[in-house]
Amino acid sequence: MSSNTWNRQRAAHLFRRAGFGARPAELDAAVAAGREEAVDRLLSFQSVSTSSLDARLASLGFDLTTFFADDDPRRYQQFAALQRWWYLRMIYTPRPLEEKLTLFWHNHFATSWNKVDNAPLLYAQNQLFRSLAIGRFRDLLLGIARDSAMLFYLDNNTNVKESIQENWGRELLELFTMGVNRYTQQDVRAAAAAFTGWTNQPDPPYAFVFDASEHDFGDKTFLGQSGPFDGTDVIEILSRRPETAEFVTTKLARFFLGFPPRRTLGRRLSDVFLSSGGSIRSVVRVILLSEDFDESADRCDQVKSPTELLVGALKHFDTETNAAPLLDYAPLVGQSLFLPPNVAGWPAWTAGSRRWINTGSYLWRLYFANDVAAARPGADGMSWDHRLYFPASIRTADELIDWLAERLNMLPPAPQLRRALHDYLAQMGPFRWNPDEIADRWGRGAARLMLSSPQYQVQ
Amino acid sequence: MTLDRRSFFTRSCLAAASMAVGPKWLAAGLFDRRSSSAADTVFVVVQMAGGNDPLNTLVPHSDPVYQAVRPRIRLAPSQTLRVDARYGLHPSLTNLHRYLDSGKLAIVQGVGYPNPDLSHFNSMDYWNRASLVPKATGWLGDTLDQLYASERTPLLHSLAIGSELPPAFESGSVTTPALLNAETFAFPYHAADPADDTAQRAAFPVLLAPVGAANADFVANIGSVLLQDSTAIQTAAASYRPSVLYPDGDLASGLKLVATVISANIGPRLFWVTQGGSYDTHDSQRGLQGQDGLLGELDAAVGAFYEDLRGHGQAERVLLMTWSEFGRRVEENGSAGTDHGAASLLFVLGSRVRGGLFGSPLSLTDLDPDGNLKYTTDFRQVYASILSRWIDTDPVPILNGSYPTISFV
Repeated sequence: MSSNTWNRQRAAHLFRRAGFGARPAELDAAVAAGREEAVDRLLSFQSVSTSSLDARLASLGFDLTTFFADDDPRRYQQFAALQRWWYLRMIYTPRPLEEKLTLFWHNHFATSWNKVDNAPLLYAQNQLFRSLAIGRFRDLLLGIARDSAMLFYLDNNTNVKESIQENWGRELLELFTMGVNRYTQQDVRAAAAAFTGWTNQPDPPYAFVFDASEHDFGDKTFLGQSGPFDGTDVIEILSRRPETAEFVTTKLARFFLGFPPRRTLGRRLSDVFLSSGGSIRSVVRVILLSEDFDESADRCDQVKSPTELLVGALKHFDTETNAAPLLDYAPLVGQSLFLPPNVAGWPAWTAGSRRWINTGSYLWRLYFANDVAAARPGADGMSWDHRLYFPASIRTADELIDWLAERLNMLPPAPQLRRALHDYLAQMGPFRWNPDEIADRWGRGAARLMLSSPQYQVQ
Repeated sequence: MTLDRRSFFTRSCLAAASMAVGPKWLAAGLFDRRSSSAADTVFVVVQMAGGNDPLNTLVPHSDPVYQAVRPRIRLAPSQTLRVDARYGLHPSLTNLHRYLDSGKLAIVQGVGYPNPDLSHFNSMDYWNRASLVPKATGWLGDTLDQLYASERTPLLHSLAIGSELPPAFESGSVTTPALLNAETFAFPYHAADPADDTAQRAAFPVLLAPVGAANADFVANIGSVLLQDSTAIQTAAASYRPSVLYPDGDLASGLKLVATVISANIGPRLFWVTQGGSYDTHDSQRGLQGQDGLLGELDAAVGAFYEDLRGHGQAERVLLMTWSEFGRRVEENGSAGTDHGAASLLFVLGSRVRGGLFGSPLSLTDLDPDGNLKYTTDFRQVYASILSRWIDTDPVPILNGSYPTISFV
């Protein structure tokens, strides 16, 4: 395909990568609008109303802001509510790119409930990612430097001038801005010294405070510059470094492409980052309109992350869910929200997407496919009204297969997928289509096989 | 976060799933994957995650420093299981004490590595990858690659019990299945409709033919491995009769599954079980929720496993090693626990093990700059010993260096 090609497959790819999939009507609209306009609509999410999403979330009555005592079992329920809240946002949002980028920032500034232990702090951090998802990188850095969950997670709340704690300073350089080995240990010390006294109140709500009595006001030499730097100065310096531009834009590109950007795109992204004052929106726009992105559409071979798989499947089937069942599946398929394995995030997003898959995690993807396709209308947790889902117009097995592939935002089925579905449908008897009765067997069974297929695991 | 499996399984389609032998179309896989002969040695790893306290495991009860710095959590000489004039074992370790007496258990003291890192994650990574610098593969994955990467048909050589694959098994080319238990390690059943179930099971393997996209084909290959291995493992589990009664708990049921697969002799030589719960005993270390309880669970599960292997005539083939990413601070903290430390200890159990204490005794006063026990044995020496003398392969490429071996095996 040439880079000028814009069609339903390309549009479906855009929605998979920049969101969690799309309905046929959304694909129609995107194809009609043209590629650039389709990308700009996704990026202009702040003008899209979220009233129906807000109403859905409000009806569930999650309390994500009350701080419970250490030994109060409601802490666990609240954490589960927080995870559900975010899954529901991803499934039902009219602003898919906002949630996708929030997921990217959650991985980039990985922070775990295992150490933070307070769902309200992670809720606040998640809202920070959302509000600055396409803002200026510098603002995001400053926000996360003052974020209470991060202050706990990387121990900067105990970083004082008499006893410097390097954890935050090191990760700020290594994982959040410049990348490893592009600075010295002295730079780490200087950065840590600049953030001394950036702490939080000792009690709920643990708000950020600057404790001047614990701050090192002395001169520091950081990345070749000297002065009485504080944390804000360090962030200003880091935000303008070419290494930061390269590191952050490469990671963003890799997230959307599934492979590192080619040299031409990589240079262009660094230039855009530096010339736009670190505008994430500008960087993401260039990525989504790049030839590299077209190539990623042609390859269509990035293993979906567990979150993309779980959220995408429920979206593709119009499943009505309260997201509670997803919490059972999340650890089994290898990704629990707010529980990254460590501060470096999930390795599959940097070391290669096939890391998501092993015999265990694929098996649980198959169980999930089974549960999604078997969900009954009106069932608790996950409800699927297959009678409304399948159109009455389908007359042949191939029509069913093609229709499902479109709804699941898949490429046209590979011959083996088509053969498997034919085999399956043949065993179930001569094909007839009557949405009220037969869909229950053929429709569900075909849906389950599609969801189980290797082709559905990639995007 | 803990997963409430009971609610999960009642909600999912699994609830009505019965354990059944796989259909004939899969049976061939069982034989394809058979590879080991009865003479092949087997290596079982038990991970004690969280950082087990060595000083309350092998207790230097006669050391006055030990008694002085641990007023709330110390064990008196009379409370321990006697080893010698200097040491006693934690009272929960009755089976291990018996194996030590009969010369089947080696205890390697002072295990660690240079420049100790008190982070759980970093330290686990070092142990998993046998490397103090970042590395993409694990030490057992490298072992599998070295032994089996040249096979034309991939066979089943290893098994990890749990929902995640331990990084130690990350490998260039040999896939290690990770499974929670035999019952769920099977193509999911569609309980409501057996005809549909049969049709699904017949159609699914057709989906797994390569399509020419690298990652999709990788997934498909994992799917094929899964179908073959699940059939073999379910077949083994269906007919297994343990020779002892295993205690309750995930560790014991994991080890029971390991014993099942070893006795079925369907191939695997490397196994991994992680004990649930955490040895990260920052507070309330004594007691059933703390180290006392965890060591008790470990002892009971390992004891049942070893006796079961003996009952099936398999004990001669098997060597079991425990590990924990680091030890703990010498002195107790303010909440009747201990903070992250450095040197730890590990157990090696087997009928062909040379039992006893190995490694130099630890000094409780000559500490590293962070106030931690200095290691006296590099953990890679233990790996080197097991690789060269038990698994029978060259440790140098796997450990990226040469390490002196220890004579416990």
